Amino acid sequence: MFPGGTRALDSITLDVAKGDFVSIIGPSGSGKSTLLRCLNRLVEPTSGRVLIGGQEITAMRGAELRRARRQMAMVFQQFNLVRRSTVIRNVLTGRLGYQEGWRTYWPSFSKEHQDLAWKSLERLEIAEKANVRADTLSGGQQQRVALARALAQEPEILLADEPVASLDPETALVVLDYLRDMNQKDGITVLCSIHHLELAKRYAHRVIAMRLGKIVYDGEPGALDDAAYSRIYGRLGYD
Amino acid sequence: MDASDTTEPVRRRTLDELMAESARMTRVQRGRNLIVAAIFIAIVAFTYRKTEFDAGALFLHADNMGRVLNGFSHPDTTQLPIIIELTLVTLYTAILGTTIGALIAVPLSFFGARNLMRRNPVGTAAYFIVRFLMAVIRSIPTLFWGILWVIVIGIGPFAGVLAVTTFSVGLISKLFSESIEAVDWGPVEALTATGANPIQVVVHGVIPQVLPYMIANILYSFEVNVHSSTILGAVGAGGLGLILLEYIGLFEYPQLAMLLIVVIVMTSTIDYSSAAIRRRII
Repeated sequence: MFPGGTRALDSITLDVAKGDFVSIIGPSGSGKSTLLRCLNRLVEPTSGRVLIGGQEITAMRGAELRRARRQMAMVFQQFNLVRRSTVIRNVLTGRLGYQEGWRTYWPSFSKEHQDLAWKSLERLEIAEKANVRADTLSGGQQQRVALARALAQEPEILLADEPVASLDPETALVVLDYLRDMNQKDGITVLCSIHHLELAKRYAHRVIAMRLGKIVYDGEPGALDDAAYSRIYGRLGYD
Repeated sequence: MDASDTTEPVRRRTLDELMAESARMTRVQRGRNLIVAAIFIAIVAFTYRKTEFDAGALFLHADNMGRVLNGFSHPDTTQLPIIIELTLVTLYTAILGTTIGALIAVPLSFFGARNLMRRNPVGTAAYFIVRFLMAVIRSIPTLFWGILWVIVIGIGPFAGVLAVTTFSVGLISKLFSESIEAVDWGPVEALTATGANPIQVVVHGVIPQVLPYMIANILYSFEVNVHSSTILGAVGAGGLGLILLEYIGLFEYPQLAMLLIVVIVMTSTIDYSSAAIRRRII
């Protein structure tokens, strides 16, 4: 609950299976971001529990919590790259959670970490840009770098907070294809908040719709018809 | 790096080449950092000698330090009335000087903002003139301005007010014109697109954006001015400075301690409250 008493999330119970691709839709302010951020505790829930693989994230502190975060990578609407650093340095930060000892106090990475970072860059087909500054790239390229950073983290879960909301429709498809690829080839569980209903239906195995901090739809993408849509958004969309 | 010596400019570069380039960039950067560090260490070593820096003296003269600090264990309260009176004069000097300085500096700042001025030759000329004047004013510390104004109009707090005013003009206009340069340009474009003239654009598009920063910059200058006003009396420009010198000259450490305690209370109260106000408005 936020100061002022607004409940961003209200009595939500959600169970996600390993390897699933879940889309979260809903109007702005419905709690999609807060839900994702409660999972890795970028936002502290005031009450309730988050369990991953039987481990209670909400009870963790310090190193234990950081270890749990390492397993759930996150990508953001605004990419959140270190804009002044090169692309490869950004991807290398995906390995920070694995560094130990003196390395955590020193800005360098071991050979294994570097190899993994390069492999992720290649996988996202953006290795060409490895040595240029992140802020020289287009939005779609930046999001691919952010995905490479997430992949370098070798996560079990990927939290994607509106990953395509600042991209043009073509680029959005490219980025979502990579998300699907990571889901299918690496078995990474994907939780992806998204505005666009068509995209949510096309990529997800399961769609969750939120409104005013509550889950108002949870099920197959196919069953999400116009009636359900207008219940979520209060009116029919343009698609 | 033979591999990167390619005759085909359009050929996709291989991962090996890219990795080699990355490693090379890191090496170059490291080399550059080392050189910069070496130069900096040389400069520090040079200044160390030129300023007769002597860490040993700190221990050698520990007894002197003890005497000064000892004053703090029994500050002399008999002088408190005069100290408080002069502290208030110091405060008034800073308040009035900052206010007059701000009245002059705020309008000037718009002429010193690159984004507003450098769009035609006349504006550019005005911009450079304002920027140059501000730099000159700031290059002379408040204490020196105090000496100059004492020469011009004689001893007393009025000279101090003028010294603070002068320096504030330089400081506030620099800070505030940089705040103006950081405005979001989107609304400016939007208002220009409505057919508004440049003055209207500034009044309706720029000023609402920069008002909190104006107050923050003036408050910050006020803090700086309170600090520099405490010493202005040393050159006859009113306030605490005169008795400060007197206590030091007469080795009156308990009285010096009293004075410093009052100054510390005043300046930290002002620093704290102005920081609190700035946090609230920005």
